[in-house]
Amino acid sequence: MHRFLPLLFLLTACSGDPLELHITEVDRAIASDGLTVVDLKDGPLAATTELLPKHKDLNLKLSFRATEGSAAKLMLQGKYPVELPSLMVAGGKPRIQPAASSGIWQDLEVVFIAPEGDVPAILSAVYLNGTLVYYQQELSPSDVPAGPLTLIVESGDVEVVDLRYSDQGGTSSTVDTNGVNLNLPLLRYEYYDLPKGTVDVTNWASLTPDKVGYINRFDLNAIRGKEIDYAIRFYGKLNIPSSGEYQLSTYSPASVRVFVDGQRVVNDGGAHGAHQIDGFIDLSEGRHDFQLDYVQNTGWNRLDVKYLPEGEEALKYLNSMEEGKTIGGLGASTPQKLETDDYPYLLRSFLYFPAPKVYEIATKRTHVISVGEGEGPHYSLDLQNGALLQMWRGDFADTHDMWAGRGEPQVMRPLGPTISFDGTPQWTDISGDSDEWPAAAAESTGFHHVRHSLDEANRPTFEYEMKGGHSLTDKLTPVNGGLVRELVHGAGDATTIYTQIAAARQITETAPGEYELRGPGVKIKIESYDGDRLVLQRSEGINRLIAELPTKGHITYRIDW
Amino acid sequence: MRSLSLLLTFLCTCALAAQQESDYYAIESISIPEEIELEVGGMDFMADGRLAICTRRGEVWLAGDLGDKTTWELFARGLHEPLGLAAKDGAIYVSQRAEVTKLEDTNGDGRADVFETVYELPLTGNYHEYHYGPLIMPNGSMMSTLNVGWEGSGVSKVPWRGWMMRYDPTDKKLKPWAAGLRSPAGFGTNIEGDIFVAENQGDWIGSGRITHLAEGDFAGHAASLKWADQPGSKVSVRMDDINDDYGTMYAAKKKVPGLKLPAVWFPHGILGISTAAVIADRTEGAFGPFASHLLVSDQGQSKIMRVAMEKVDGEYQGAVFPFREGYKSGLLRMNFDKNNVLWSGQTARGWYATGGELFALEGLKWTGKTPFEMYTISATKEGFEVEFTMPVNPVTVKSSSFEVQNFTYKYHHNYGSPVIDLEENKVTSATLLPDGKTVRLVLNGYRPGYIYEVRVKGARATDGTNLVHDFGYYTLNAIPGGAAAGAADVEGAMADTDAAPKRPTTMPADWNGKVDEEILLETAHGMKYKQTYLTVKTGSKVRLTFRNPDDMQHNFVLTSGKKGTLVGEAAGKMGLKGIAKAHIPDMDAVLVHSKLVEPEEEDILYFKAPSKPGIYEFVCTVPGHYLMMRGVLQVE
Repeated sequence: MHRFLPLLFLLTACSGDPLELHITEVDRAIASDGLTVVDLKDGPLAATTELLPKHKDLNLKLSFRATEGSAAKLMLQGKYPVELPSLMVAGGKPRIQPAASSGIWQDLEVVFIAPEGDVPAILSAVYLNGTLVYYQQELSPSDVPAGPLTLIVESGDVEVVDLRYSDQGGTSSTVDTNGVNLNLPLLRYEYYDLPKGTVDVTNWASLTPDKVGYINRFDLNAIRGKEIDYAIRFYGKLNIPSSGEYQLSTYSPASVRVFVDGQRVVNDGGAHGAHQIDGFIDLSEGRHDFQLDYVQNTGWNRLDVKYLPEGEEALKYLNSMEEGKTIGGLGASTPQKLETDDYPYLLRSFLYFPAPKVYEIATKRTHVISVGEGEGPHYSLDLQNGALLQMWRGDFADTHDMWAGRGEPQVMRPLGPTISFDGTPQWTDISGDSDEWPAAAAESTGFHHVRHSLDEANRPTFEYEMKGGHSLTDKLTPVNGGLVRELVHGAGDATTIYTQIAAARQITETAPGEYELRGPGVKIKIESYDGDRLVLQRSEGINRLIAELPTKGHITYRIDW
Repeated sequence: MRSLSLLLTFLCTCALAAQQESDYYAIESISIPEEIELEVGGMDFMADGRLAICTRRGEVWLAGDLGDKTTWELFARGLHEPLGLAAKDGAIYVSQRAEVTKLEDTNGDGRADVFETVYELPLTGNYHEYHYGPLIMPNGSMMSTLNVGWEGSGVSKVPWRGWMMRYDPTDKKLKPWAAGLRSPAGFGTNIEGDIFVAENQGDWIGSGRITHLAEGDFAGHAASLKWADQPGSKVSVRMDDINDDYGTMYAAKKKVPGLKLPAVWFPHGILGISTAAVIADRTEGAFGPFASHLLVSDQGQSKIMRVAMEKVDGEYQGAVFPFREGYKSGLLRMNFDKNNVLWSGQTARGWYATGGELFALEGLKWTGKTPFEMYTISATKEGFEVEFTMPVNPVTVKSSSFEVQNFTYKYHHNYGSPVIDLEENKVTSATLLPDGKTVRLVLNGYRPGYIYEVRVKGARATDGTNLVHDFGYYTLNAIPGGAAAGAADVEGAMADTDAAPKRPTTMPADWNGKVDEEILLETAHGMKYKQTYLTVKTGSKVRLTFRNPDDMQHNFVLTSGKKGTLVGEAAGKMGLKGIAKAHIPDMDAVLVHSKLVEPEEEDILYFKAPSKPGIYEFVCTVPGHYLMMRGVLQVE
């Protein structure tokens, strides 16, 4: 630990400015996300900038920052605009009112599926700072399959950095060490309301769908309007990365048929018990038309689709709602808004964290408390490791998934666009600046929540204990649209402890004690600190601002976004 | 099981016509302000007489002056689905999903301002990982129970799912107490201070029941055994010890001594479908004649059952009786107030309750009249002694005044169990003892390891009063003073029912692989056939597929005419033979029948349609089903 370093160093350190930032590089391996990085010049962009010369399907990630009053358009294929910073899309209905403050970095993620034949272009998903803004937004049809990605700045200054992309629209098939992984990036569906007692459907051509839409998984529950007597036809493009014989299997108590390139592979029509039916087909490398016809003729709604590539041992799920896995669905179409008042609402719940990508495997934090009052900002803490998980303004919480029916997911959903940190432990006893910050609180640290108590304004102060006699508190107060956080190391056996101020993809010191963050985009200002060691740990893909706190030490800082 | 239920419903209705539960125990409903969703998860009376209630939506309400002018104060909110509450020394303890929390109001403004974590639990995030308690014991320790998670079967993926835990506040340690639980939604102590946990039917749990849990006990659900070898566990049973092969819990107990048998089984569908709160009548008579009995609530059937136990060979066993039904919602919690009114906190969201309301708070008051009831049933070496609450008219005491039969449940990983090995017990003598209130029954076929249905037919009190409830179920784990052979080999007792002369499952060779008529017959929920009218031509070759997508066993029996009732009644009278012969009576009126088809299975039959045109009824002969489950085959 640095305090055991030579006296001279110690004296230097102690006599220095407590806000002096010590920068240290930390080795840390990160997994590649498979995206191609595009280097862009720093600073505001020209009126028209070509970001990609030509694209069809697209997975796109970037960060942008816009000055007050600026306006720009991100043009997909040169003709489908997403307005910045408002994220307006012509004819689009945002699922949540996006809020991109000027002067703050914003993370934008776009999943785009190019038009093909009669099928229009689809804005499959748009996320702002991890919050889903659009899902399966239909754009206009076009017979031009490709075009450039451009940014048009109409007024003000707009910067774009960290641009990464791939030519898949969503999750497509891959080959990796696990073998062949098939996935349909998008399913188009037609939903049919059927007469009572329908066992099967043979006259599809004479039926008219009651609704049509797009979805990522065979999620019957998200589409169906009733328990029985309906049918859904799913269509998609299945990319086969490696040619060979494939087994396709369905498990369902209802009528199911699967077709690839018009050839029936699984035939499990009519009335039968729940069982698995297998089919086999030789498939060449490349894209194939996939179709699944489902007729709900029994009370049990269940559909698993699996596949087995040639030479592999175990069946894998194809776009199914896998049992035993937590899959982040769309959330309730009828949210139960939890009303807030001046008395802070302390809500314990499970929480999907990190914010789930729609229909992807999600993880739950189980010991979460969210604190909401008035218009916010509201915030969520993980009481198992003390982490500040997320913050948001606007409405507080949707409790539908906790209180409707049995409330199976038991998750609260923030009703505003969230800003999230990385959820790693708040406190740790690492022994030096360059020790890697732990991903999870080791049981050996004995870290645990002791209590929280309310002050005169009924706001909570959270108290924790940690091995070594450490007594720690955390208090967050909404002030002028931001949060002021005070972290105190109340007692300890004469050793210091580290706490983290924030983690982000990039942290830049803009003045002593002031920092600008990207991914998440926030500004931090240290208001008071009685320790003497602020450290910026830099590693591949993540920077972490940490502070050493001596016994009876504290740090207070503002977070704005 | 539903068959028994149905029969009993008929019988109960007759009995109730004479005596009403409400003559003896009156229900009073509390009106709940519209803005409060009082989905009761837990409740307890505080020293000042107010009732502290936590709700499944995480609120804690303090209700004062329960009655017409109840006062409601919000004490806390935002807790995570708290399903238990205890008030002690001015503080309120609640079991949230992730912890037990101590709530205190330190500034006297009526709202909790300190939320202290008493102990924390690991969770996977599965919705079924419920947490109940704490029950604060006289020594200050806190007992709580932890559901297993549900992933198509009960799973214990983090410690100590499926366990009862004991928290010691002096050394601040949470220690495992007992294992083998599935969905232990309620527990309490009897007046001796022993802990009884209520359990819900499911995998490994054939039916609802209460079990006495001492430290180190294993109550039957296997998933919890994952942690049995962890430090602090005194459970001797290991995962490898438990499998489906034993047949019954009683048989398993012979090989696995650490397995704890239920003290009292609650037949599923008859005495509850989801047992919850367990509370002892400590009123010493102020709540009626049942002092020291246990009262057990049921969430799904909106009612309360009564349990009277005895100790045989050092272990509890005893009888369960109906007590009071007609509540508005699902009874999850019960507490006595200082005036000896029994309050029931109710909720039904996500789990339907007979009462029909989503939630309710209701009090039960003894009217002061003594009901004529079976007070206790105790085992003797040769049968039972049934003690009544009032002297019995000696003239009405005779062997024919009592009907006894016994059965048990399977012990297996499947969900629930059918009633198995049902056998009638001939009552060879019924003798009124000198106290005038107790009848001694001597039985034929008396065997340990079974649940005994004891039904009273016509015995009356000396003043002519009829029974309020005329049946009870005694769980005979042990016979006082020694055991005969028990339910050790139940599978053997269930003879091969599949092979039968009137169940043609292969196509006759002379049909040359061709059938004239292809018929699908299916069951539907609620004891019905989906198709109730089938037609065939005379003498045609029929392949009939009988599918059972329902959640209980059914069969198909084609009769020789309008003989559905005749055959159904005959099947109902078969007793033990009924089980052994798949409820198929040996009579000419039976033309063709299927096997007893398990849920989600099917049976395929090949037969020639009768040569004479007419109406041929078909029925399900599982006892009681034929009343509703019937249809006709029209032969043209």
